[in-house]
Amino acid sequence: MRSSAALAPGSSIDMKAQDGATARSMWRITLQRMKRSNTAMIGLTIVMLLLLVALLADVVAPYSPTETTPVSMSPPTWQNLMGTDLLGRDVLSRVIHGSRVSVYVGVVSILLAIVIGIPLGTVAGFYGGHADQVIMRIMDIMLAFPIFLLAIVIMVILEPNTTNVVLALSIVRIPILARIVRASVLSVKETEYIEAVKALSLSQIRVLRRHVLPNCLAPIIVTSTLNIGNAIIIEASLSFLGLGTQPPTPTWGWDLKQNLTLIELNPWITIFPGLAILVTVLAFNLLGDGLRDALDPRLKA
Amino acid sequence: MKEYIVRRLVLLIPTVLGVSVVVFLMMHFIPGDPVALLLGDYYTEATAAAIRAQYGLDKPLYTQYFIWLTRLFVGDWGQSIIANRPIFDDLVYRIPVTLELIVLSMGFALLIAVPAGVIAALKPYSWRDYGAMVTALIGVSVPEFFMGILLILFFSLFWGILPAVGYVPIGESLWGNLTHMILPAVTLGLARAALLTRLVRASMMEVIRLDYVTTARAKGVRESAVVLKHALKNALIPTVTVLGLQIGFLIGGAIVVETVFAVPGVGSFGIAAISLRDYPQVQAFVLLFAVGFVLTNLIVDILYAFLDPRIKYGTATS
Repeated sequence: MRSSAALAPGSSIDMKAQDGATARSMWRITLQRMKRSNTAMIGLTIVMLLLLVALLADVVAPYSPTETTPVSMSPPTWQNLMGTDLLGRDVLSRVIHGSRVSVYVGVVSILLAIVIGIPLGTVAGFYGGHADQVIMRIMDIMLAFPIFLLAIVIMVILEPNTTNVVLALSIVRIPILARIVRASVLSVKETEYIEAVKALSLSQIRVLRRHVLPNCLAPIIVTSTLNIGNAIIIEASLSFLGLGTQPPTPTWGWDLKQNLTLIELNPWITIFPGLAILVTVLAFNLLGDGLRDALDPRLKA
Repeated sequence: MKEYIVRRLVLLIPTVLGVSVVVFLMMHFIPGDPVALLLGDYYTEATAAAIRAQYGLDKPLYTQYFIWLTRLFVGDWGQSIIANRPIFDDLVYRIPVTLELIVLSMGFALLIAVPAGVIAALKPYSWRDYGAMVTALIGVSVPEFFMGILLILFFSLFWGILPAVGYVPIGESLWGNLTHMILPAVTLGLARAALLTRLVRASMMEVIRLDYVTTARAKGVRESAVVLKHALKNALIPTVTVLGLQIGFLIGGAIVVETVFAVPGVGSFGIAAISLRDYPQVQAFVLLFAVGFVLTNLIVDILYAFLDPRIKYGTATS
């Protein structure tokens, strides 16, 4: 103990420097590996474009998404590239504005789930005992519901609006993230590396934050990116069932549902919102796949 | 093995009870007074109190829970408010429809995924492999309702091969039943097929490199037998597990697919109940799907233990 106490200050500085170096090189290596994968770069590009379109929807969209015109049910023309719906609204503008809800719900719900899931999983995995039992039993009961069903249950209790969809989608994601984090913490906790760090008698929080959690990052990042795509599908499905964001805010799911009744008259206006969902989810999945291969080849499913 | 099954069955009890508590409490979290909803314009304090006494709503919450739970066991799943008939009767008719949809879609998913995954794995990084993988990636990215709409658009509206919506009971006409179920089952199965293709490919590629496969080849076993009997059999073990884990997605997907195709299963029953605010019916729908999910997970776990003798079922799951 005496010698480790004497060693601690100097070695912790060394470790800090080294930590920084490994963290930087980990991201650099990841980026380099990503660049080699065409599919991952396609995914990344589409995701970036999507974020831009969602942010600049007012500038990019040729018309207002809610303005009605006499040009009803038009097929794609040069004036309306994706046609118009029953009320004469420009479908392209609605698809562009619809990206806002989808991207917002997908990204924010996953971030929220991470913010809550990481501490839960860490406490359960690192401290074990009663805390572990209580947390994981609650997570088990939540996992006893299929994700989509749980999201529906929450939306039935809450009022259907965008904020509550974010809430519902993050709640259903928490048990999954908590499990992943707990498993990684458990496996990292037993490694000699953490034993060594512990022997330096650093505080537990510090060990967790600087040494245990960074080693669990890869699975969290990969799962989260892949989950964004799934969250966007669930958001669209909820909107499709009328349990999500309410009109007049344009969403892809609700537009699809509205235009579905008119599919025989004008199939185009149903196809475009659907394609928008498909491309968005595909982009996040490509990015997630690329990240998985780049961050840790062993994680291949 | 017997010990493992018994322990899993014992562990099932707290999970199912937990689910039932959540579903029960769900009704109490829903904003609005159910009695006021039921009485509508006839609401007076006296009648409301009488109704509360009649349904036991004046008793403490835990008493209400136990009454509710005992009734479930004797088949009293409550009365639907809108249709005004026992929910249990509806469920008895609708459960087989949903089961048929799920079984058909699983069958379809396997029918596509196993050959596609094997073909992709036998020649990795060939055009066939890339083709299968790109299709699979697109397949997992399509929401079920959009896939359903596309299939309706082409198979019903443009080509007129299959009926778009509706349902014919098997008892009436097997052919009619199948033609109505093909599009919903394919819709629900496609996303699962995509995911399973990737999985079959990955586990095939792992297994085919193993020593015992090389040994089989070396002793002159025909290549088709090596692939089908030696490699595929073992590669399918993780596939079965994931297929089991996919049941949750199938149940969730069934809700959407039944709504799109107007299939009279438990899912469309639940969604109709939600839009009509028929909460006893919503409760029955949620409870049934959640308990069904827990039970199928249990069955999959036990099947897995049978399939893979290496699984450690002696130690506690922690």
